[in-house]
Amino acid sequence: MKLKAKLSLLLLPLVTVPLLAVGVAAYMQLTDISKQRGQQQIHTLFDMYDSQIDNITRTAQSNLHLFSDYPLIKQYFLADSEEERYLVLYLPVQRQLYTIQKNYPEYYELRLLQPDGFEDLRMINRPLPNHSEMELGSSAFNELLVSDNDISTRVDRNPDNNELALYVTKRITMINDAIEDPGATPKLRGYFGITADIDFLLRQLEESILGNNSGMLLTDDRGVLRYLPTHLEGLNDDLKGLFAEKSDTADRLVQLASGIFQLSSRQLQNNLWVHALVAEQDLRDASRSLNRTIAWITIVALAASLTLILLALNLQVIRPITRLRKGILDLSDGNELVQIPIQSRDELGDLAQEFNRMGRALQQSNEQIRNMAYNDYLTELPNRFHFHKTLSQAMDVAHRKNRQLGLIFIDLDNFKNINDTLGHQTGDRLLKDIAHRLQNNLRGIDVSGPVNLTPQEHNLARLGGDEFTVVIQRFSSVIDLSKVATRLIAAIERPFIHQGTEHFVSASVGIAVFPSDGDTPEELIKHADMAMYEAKKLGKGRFEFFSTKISKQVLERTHLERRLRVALENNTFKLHYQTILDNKTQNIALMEALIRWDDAELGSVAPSYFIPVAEETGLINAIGSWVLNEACGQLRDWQDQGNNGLKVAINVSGKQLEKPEFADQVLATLKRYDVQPESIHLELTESAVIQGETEVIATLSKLRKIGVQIALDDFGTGYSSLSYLRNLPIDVLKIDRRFIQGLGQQNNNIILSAIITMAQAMNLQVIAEGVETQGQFAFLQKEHCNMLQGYLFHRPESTEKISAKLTSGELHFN
Amino acid sequence: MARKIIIVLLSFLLLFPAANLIAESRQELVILNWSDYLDPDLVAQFETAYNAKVTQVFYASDERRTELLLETDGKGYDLILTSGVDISTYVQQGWLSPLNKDQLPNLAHLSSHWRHAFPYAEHYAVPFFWGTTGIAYRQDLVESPITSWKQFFEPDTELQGKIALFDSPGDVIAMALKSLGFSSNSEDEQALARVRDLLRAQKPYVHSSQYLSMDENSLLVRGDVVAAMAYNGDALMLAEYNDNIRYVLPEEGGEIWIDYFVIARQAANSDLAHVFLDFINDPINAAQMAAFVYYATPNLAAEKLLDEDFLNNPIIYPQKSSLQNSELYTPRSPRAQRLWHIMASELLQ
Repeated sequence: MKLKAKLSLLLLPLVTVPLLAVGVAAYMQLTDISKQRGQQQIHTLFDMYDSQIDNITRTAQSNLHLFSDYPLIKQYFLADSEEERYLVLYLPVQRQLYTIQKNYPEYYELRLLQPDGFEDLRMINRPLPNHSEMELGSSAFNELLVSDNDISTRVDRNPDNNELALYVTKRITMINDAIEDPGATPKLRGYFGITADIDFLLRQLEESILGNNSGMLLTDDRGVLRYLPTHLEGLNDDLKGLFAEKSDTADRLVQLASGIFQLSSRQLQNNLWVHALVAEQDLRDASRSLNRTIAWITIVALAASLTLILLALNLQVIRPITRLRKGILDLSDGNELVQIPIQSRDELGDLAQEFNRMGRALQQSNEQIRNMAYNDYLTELPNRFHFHKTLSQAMDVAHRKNRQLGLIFIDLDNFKNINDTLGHQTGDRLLKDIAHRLQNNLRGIDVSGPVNLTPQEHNLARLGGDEFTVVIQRFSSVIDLSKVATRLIAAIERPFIHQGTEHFVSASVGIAVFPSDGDTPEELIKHADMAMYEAKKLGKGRFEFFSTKISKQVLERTHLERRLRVALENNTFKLHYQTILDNKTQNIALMEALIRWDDAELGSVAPSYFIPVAEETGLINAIGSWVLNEACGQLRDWQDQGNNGLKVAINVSGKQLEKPEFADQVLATLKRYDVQPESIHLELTESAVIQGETEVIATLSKLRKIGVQIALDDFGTGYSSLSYLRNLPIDVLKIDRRFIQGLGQQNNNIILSAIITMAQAMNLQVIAEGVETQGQFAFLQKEHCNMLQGYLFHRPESTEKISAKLTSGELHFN
Repeated sequence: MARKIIIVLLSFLLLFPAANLIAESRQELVILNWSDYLDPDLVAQFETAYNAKVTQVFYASDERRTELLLETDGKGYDLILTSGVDISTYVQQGWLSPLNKDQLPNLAHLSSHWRHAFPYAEHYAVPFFWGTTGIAYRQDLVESPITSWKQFFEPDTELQGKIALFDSPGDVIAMALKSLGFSSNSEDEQALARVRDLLRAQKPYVHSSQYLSMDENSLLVRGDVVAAMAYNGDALMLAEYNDNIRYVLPEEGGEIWIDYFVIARQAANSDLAHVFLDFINDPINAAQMAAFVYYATPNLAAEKLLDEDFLNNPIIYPQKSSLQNSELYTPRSPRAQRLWHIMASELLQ
């Protein structure tokens, strides 16, 4: 059985039993309380009825005293002749009683009786028959006859309407001071009676439904039923005899035919009792609903607490244990540094902590073992074994990504001598320093070119003895490899100072390139080694490529670079100009400045060959600047010679544009030669603009704002998408010569036509370059291309020739 | 307001003691009376002639008169105008003093018949006017002229809700008895029981229970009420405001009533009361008074001074034949009176 199930089985009864016990106890307690409260409520109602009846009685009594003291009423009682009473007083007294009744409508019957009980005057405010004018024999009247009290009060059935009413009757005894001695015994003159309705009480009794089978009822003091609420009328027969014995005020249980009842009684008046009859069945119904509520609460509480406990158990115990188990499984699967989250600060947490500590210790010792196996003990660099593995992996990656890979093989020159003369200890020390220095130079490598190595992209290793290797995975040309080699050699050649003595070391380096120099690690290493020997043979302290082709390439490139610098220094560049014609007028719209380089050693070098080198080495900025100055200066000269409308197009490299100060540089140049910005076109290649960051766009916008025209060169060789042109700050679109030369082939005509139409729709001027035939010319004319350039019109020509042609008027411009 | 008046009065008294003296020297005569029952010109004449001030206290019904007297036990009045039937009650209550006939030479002009019509009348009372109780109605607002109490107590649609009764249950019960063919003085319980039923049935159609006011705002003049219990003279007075008002003594007969002046036992100025009674019974004055109130005078000398028109007006002086069914009230037994009161109070509910 799982731990989870065991714990749950253990906890379940621990929770359930006490909760059930509390539920049962609560039920018992609440039932008790509700019974008590029910009784209390009944007695509170009794108190209320008692005080209401008492209140109305006392009010009626004092009113009766008040009314019978009215002079007219007194006079009526004192009147000794019927004439006086009926002919004179009757009507005014009637009016008086009428007024009283208006103010006390609940006194629905006011009566003046003669001493013999004859109802002399009766005032009612509701239709009520009068069954008898002789009240002698009525209970209220009889009571007064025998009582010492002047006032009798009873609740009784009114024989006139058979309703319960409160009868308050006052005996009137007076001295007639007009004719009798003030000290004479007062004589009985009659009775004054008020009949008040007690509907309010009956309404309350009717409304105080204590249950479907329970209610309040009234009896007189002999137990005769006086009032039974309508919903209990079924009990009428059942109740006969229940109150026959003298009523008791204690609460008690009674057995009736229809069941057991709780009976409470209270005397309200000398002949009026109120009884509350509560059926056991109603009590049971009430407690049943209470029962249900408590059962629900208990069930919900049980469900909630069990869920919570299982949840907590799972979270606090089961899950940490499961994690530990998984950790141990991971560890045994060979995963290193297995760590598990520590969830709590209890024993399980401690256990997890211990586990983690153990995991870390295991990993450290693994590391040590691995180091011993893979790394060189002296320099801590990867050893030969490790190097092989690394190289093999790197070659796989390069193969997969179709990239080159460089292997640099370093061998210290004459290191054996150092060991022999200075001892192994010094030798080892030097080896460590050398490894360190190599490492630093590789790490900090920052060449002007694209080589910027990160630790992942080079792998320095010690093959053993005085041999080191470096694997270089990312470079753009083999020149980069030569640069790294040069640098490493230079680094080693700097003197090492050890215990105050300077030691000089040199190294020979061989370089092999994958895949051209071998496609297995062994072959590549062998060839790098061979190249290293070649370097040693050629005089040590230098590097050699394994492949002669590469060696030559490197040599040529180095030569070109050197000559470029010389050319810049000696200012041996020249500018030629080629015309660009306005298609409508056939006049010159522009002169495009084209750089020309005629080197003493290299001969004439095409811009397409040296401009990339200039861009890579950063010489392009200086060259670009020279071109800008030269072209502007020339334009100034030509304009000064009267060619005011002449404009010049100048090619600009993307590298130049990347410099933030480029715009200012152009402005300064324009100013220097007093050249209008409008007469300058700057031509850029698509790639320069597209790769351009927002800074490039900003620079162009800035130039354009002051009036410099921006032309997009070679359109159609790159993205060839017209849509992106919309977002570029350009004025002129220069369609690549290959498009023009391809006219007539496939769909080129349609495409060209579309390009022109759309470019013009975007408010761009279109220049077609490389126009060589009349056919091309005719097509472009038909398509209304704005400007044309090509051999058909003019070849690029030297400044002098152009100047001469301008002077001679051979060239026309707009 | 009352306080203000007192202050004004006080200052008046302090500033003008002479006026005060004059006022003091004038004798006051307090008369308990119906309103509009004395010609103001004659009253003014009397005041001037005898340097007297006549103050009238008005009552609205016979019952109210008795109540007023009861409240003061007959004090505060010199002369009381009462219906003939109440004279004996008032005498028994001790509220009246017998006439000093020596002070009333003009008593000789009065009809002996009327002077003896009720118990005690001869010694205690001076007849003032006589008349009938009938129905005043708007001839323009009914389709068929009203000729009977039956039409009045069991009204047709055109009269329903447009009937006015006297503010006097006794008169209403008496006339209801007449409408059923009984004597208005009947004490028969069965007759009274039928009256009760009759009045209960009539109750929903009754517009009001009050005496008609004698002015242009009278309900009958305005037409709110179409038929009303009325005294003959009152009907004639109202006809001056609207000549569509007719009076009829119903065919079942009405009441013939006589009003008398009696002198209060506790009169402050019994002599002046006698002088006043003799003054109004001077034939010339009595004639003027009759012309003012449109009632038949019991003063035979005055009758001779009245116009032919007045004397021939059948409303004021009905033909013997039309009076055939009409009765005088006779005093009821106290027990019967009690029953009438009980019935009246039931009708009040």
